[in-house]
Amino acid sequence: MAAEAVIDSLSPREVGDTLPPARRAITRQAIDAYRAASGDNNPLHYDDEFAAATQFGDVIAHGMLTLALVTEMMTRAYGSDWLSSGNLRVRFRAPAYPGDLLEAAGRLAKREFTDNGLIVTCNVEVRNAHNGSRIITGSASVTLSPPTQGVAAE
Amino acid sequence: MDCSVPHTKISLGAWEITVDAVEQYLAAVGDKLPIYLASGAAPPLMLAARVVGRLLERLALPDGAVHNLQDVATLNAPRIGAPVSAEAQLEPARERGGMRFLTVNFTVTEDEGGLILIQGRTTILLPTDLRPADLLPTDTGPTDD
Repeated sequence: MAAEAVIDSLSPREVGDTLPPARRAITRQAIDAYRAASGDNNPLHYDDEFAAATQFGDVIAHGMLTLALVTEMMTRAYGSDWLSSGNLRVRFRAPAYPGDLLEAAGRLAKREFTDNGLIVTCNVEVRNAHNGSRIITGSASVTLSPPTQGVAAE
Repeated sequence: MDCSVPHTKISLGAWEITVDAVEQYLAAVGDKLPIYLASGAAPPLMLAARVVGRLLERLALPDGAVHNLQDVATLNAPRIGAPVSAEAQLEPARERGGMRFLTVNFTVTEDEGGLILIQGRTTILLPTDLRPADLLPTDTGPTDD
């Protein structure tokens, strides 16, 4: 679909609407690639010996790597509106390990009309698909442009 | 510059949002959506990720530091090709439940015109034996690249 396509038919706009989910397997390669891209060189993310001595017992993924699943989900749902006005507030609740399969999910929880437009707020989370544990919980809000002005994510 | 003093401003350097950097970030996080390169807008979280990485460098945070909370507010879409710079400000460290928390507020600004792109707030859980005075920057100047 062209990037200029309208988003009004794709974007969740009503309370209770669910967001298109995003899913990703966590691997050592993904963690290493994220370390190179972000410059976050905490040994907790690559040093087996160091990580084994911590409360986590093993190397874990960067929190911001797991959070990227939420922003991918929001970008897919709200396109350019998310890229220009997205607002994210999350808590990292549990670590993600290599081998874990993560799923981001969300549901529209609140609509608010303001002078700047319609602001929608979604409850979002990232879960470990293997055991159901919550990796991230929080909220994400975005100011929606009029239906024919947005740019679709795909 | 002594970052143990609350509200001290810390430069996190300046850099350009290059196409290569955007592609590297997107590949790393597995995001295959075409909108970024098609629209010329970088993922806002990419800037926040860069800030968190630089905070670890600049504040000499201990290896056991753990990311606990993250807020990111996008005020303007980050433009691919734009030169940007980041600045952070520490809040007083606090203890609760036998744990020590450090919160850092940050802003990433487009250098041409001073447009604020994102503002954020990062809270990091620190080992309890770490004193605020231990949080010294590893150098005194910004790290441009």
